[in-house]
Amino acid sequence: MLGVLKAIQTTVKAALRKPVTVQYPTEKKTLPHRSRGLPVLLWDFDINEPFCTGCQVCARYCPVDCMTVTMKDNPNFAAGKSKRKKIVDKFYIDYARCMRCDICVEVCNFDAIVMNNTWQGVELSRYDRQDLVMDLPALLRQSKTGELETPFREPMGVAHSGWAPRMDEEEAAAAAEAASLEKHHGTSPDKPSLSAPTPDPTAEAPPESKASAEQGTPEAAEGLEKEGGEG
Amino acid sequence: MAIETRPPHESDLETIDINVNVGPQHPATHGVFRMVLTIDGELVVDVDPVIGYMHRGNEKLPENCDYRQVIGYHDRTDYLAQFNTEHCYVEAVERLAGIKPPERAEYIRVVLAEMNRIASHLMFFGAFGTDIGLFGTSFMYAFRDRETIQDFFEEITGERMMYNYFRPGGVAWDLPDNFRQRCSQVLDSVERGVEQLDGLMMENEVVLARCRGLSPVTVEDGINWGLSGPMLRATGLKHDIRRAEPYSIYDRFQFDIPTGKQGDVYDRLVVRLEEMHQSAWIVRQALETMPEGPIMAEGLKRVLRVPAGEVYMRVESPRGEYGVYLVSQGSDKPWRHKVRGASFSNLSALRAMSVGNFVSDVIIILGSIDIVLCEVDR
Repeated sequence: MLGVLKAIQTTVKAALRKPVTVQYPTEKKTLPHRSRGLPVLLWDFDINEPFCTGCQVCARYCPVDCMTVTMKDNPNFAAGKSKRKKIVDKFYIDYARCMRCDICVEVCNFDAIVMNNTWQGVELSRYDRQDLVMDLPALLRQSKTGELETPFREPMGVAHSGWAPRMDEEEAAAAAEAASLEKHHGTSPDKPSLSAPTPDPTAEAPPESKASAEQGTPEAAEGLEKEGGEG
Repeated sequence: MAIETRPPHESDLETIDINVNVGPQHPATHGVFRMVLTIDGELVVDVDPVIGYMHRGNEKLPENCDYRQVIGYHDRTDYLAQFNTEHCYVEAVERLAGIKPPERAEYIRVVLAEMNRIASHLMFFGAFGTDIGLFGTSFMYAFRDRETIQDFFEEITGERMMYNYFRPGGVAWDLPDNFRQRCSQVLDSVERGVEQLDGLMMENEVVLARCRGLSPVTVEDGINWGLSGPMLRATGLKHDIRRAEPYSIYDRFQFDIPTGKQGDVYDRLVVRLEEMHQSAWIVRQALETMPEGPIMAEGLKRVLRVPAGEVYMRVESPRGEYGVYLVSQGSDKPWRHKVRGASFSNLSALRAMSVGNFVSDVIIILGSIDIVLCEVDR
């Protein structure tokens, strides 16, 4: 009998406290900065073109093969406006297939793709499954319109991929200084980067960063392609 | 095995056994699981478990994936203890490849795996309450606290369920700055919730009447049937892989191994409840001593190629012994990838445990195994 009374006491206590339910969809929780919605591409506002060069690294590392990417010559490069020799031509992501594993973000050499950390990255009801296959304008829209304010991109997997992110010498020096200030590996993830939507440069400046400073350019990426293509 | 459990017939009326399908689409089966019960009145004389509805080729798929891509599939085996399964897999790869993850990564893994154990056991209490007739009450209590933990995980990894956060050699990215404070805050709130669950269920006469003495399992039977985890510890055997064969950094922490007395359903509840407190204790110890430093082993190649060899790695997942058997032939993909699901082995004891009980009790016995069908079928 006492046990039942104890149970009732617990229930009464619970009845008197504030409800914990959030009345979605009229009321929405704020998503954490690291929230992983579906992947979107980033827009380079300086040159007015996507960061993506269409190098297909993400498509190759995608565990579920949800991406299709093609590459073309960059007209802006011919005009001398851009440093990117090649640029993405077509980019399709099948959102119905994507399992949001974040591997495409991790392997991207150009910081061109991020996981959408806004509500648009998760609220994707459509009447037709085909409508979930996103093309290039749809993937770039979030970044272009500024809805995607501060994407999360930790310099993660640097050690794993052996990849040194693109850095100018000034940037590298600044990053090295920042790294010496930071106690632990990596930038502070929950402070949004200053220059949105450009993601954080990595906080660590590995010794080979100067040697591989050119790795960020498309030509070097093609070299990487060949190197990685053996697998 | 022939178990004669029927009471002698008292009347001359001729009776026949009938088959009752429970599942596959039945909430009491915790997933897509089907039991064909042969019943004599209310008495269960035979149980025929039918599995395989959730088979997705989760052991074959990784043979075409590189070592990093497999982590996502491990989240999808035991989807209530994802960090534990990831931990098992990345440890297996690390042992095979000879990688030593940095200290901080080990601590992060242990903290998250133990938090995940609490979340998983909370899920068990919620679902078990539904089985024994508490309807939504315990479910809502448990889910409130599980939600806190999931929010916490989302702040770290970005995902609520399929974290994909551990990597061979470390973890994918570092913890947020306020991690320590946030983690103790979550632990405090969860432990208050666990106290409430304790008050709601453990001394409740209704729960006692339904669970105590139901399907007791002896230590010998438990070992012979291949039980592991809380199911085995409920029989009274003090066996925990974290202690018996310490992996990662579990040898640095103090914790007790809760055991039951007679291995009945109630003992399984008690063991799981106590395990949540022990996990919280481990997390608190780890938070105190967690070092700063790198989170990824140095000197790893762009594509991880694992030298030829084989390894079997097992961890103590909330459901029992979760194992990964990997064979590598030197390429960047596993050549063979076998998963030992704890639920699968525990479920195999279902027939022996439930024959001779009433239909309503069989549902409880099934619930007390705490199966995850994605881990059973893989």
